[in-house]
Amino acid sequence: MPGPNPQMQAYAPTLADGRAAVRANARSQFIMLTYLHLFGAVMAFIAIEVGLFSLGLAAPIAQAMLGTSWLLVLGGFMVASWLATHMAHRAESLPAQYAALALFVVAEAVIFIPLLAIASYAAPGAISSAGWVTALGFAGLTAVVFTTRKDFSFMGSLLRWGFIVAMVAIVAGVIFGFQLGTFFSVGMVALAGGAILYDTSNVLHHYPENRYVGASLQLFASVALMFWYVLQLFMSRD
Amino acid sequence: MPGWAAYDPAPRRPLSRGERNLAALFALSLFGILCAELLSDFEPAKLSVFFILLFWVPLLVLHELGHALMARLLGWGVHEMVLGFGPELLRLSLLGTRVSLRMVPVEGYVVPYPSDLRSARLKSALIYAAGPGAELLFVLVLLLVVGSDVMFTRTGDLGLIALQSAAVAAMIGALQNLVPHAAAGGASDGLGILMSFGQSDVLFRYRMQLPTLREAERAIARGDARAALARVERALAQYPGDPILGAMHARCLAASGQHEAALARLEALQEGDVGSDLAEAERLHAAACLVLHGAEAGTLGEAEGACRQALARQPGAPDYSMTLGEILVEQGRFEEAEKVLQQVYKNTREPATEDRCTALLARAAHGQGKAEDAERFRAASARRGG
Repeated sequence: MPGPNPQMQAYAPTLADGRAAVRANARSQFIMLTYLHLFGAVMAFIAIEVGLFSLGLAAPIAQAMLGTSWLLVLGGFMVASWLATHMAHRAESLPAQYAALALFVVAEAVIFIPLLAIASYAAPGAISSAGWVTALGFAGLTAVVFTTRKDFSFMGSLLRWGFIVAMVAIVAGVIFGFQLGTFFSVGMVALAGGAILYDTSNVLHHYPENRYVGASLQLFASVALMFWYVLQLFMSRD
Repeated sequence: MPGWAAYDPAPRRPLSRGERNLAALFALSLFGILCAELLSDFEPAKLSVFFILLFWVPLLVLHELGHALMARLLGWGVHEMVLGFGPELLRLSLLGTRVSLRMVPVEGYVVPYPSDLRSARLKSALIYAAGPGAELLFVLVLLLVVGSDVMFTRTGDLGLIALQSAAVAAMIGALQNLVPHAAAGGASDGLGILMSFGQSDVLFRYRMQLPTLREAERAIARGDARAALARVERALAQYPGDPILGAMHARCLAASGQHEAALARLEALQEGDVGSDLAEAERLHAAACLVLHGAEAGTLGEAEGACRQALARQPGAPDYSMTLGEILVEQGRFEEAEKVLQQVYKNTREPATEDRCTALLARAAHGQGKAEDAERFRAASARRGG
């Protein structure tokens, strides 16, 4: 009787192979859902801004926000984003996670109103240019992570400290009355780029597979930050 | 500012050489950009950014001194004052307090302990409040000395900008600490103040023994079981019936090779009334340690059970989690071990805990065939002398 064919044995599916396939499938599903939610968040953000501007609500909101201390506006935004992030990552129920994402998108939409209002008045065309540059930057950085499959999670603490220093600069600028200029915007675009690498790498390697809402919120936050400072760069050029 | 930093799903891993270089390059580039920003269209007020960052370190010292001085003032002891995180640069003993200066001096903590239970909750809250209080007091002194009208004036005078920056840094530090939140490795001062009023006498009694327990733990970790035993026996002479000291005594006896005495000590604890969940958790943990280190002829499964029961009573206790991680490594359940140990490793800034975690995580990674991770943890452990 012929013995078992070693080649056939090598290709025989094992339990470990099966488990690996299930894991890979779950990961692909998670990645797809994360990017679908990110797309949804970006679309909701655009819809809110278009709605506010076309209804004429943007101008009074922008005036009210610019009339008050920017530290208060920033503080309010930080509280809202902390609440939303905390809820999106820790809440067990899916509706609570969606509510967190919605809260974050609305908070971003509100804080963007003054910048978009000024941009649409002072630098027509800058908004769409900044949008395209951000989209290209995001696509490029995403491609880097997905093609190299490199784990960028080591950047976490560096980015955290980078954002703290940036926050100190912003607070100092408001208190001491100086303007942060082009170089600061370049630095913030670099930080936002780092954050996109870090978030994308976490999406690929580390997020639990049921946390696609929180993962999309993180990505959306980094994309919005990049858009903010790319737009500032376009406005300073124009 | 994005909310991304609030949640980090990635495990903590020591950096590879390439990652360290890349991170250094990125950090240097950002620093260069910041310098360029401050120098372009230069105005003296822009230097406030550097001043605020510069004042952070002395204000950290002031903050921790605030906690320590208040503790002394209220009759509590201060076992340890830690300034910064990362590798230890300097260690000294100051008025019976172990002071440790570490590589990155941007955060710190003190370990106060009560000498008795009188008004312990109020005293604990006051000690928590004294850190941000010291910073607020510093701002008040600046306002009184320099004058509030001058302090709130926008100016080009560098000296005044430096003073104003110091006040801003102190305010940021105080407010950030007063907001109640769970910080890495513990509670913020604001949360600590609130929690103080809800703490039980049992916990304060445990904190009274903290210096003994920490010193004994350190002595066991460096292989000096005799010193650990001597320290615990001195404390037991003062508090003979203390069940938490009793559990540590059993561990010290086992670590110094007196296995029968250790078992007898543990059995005596089991028969007596341990008095609290915390003491029972310590007893269960000691039992797990005895099995793990060969003093008791139990199985690793029993040790795991005891450790899990201890964790059910004191969820998240890092010592228990590390022991559980070690048991799981010994059982060859590397994936589970990695999960448990990562929970501790991600949330600790304590070098002794990091040492033990990196050594165990190296074994867990090796067991799963993650050669690169195993090498990283092994290298980190070797660098630390583990």
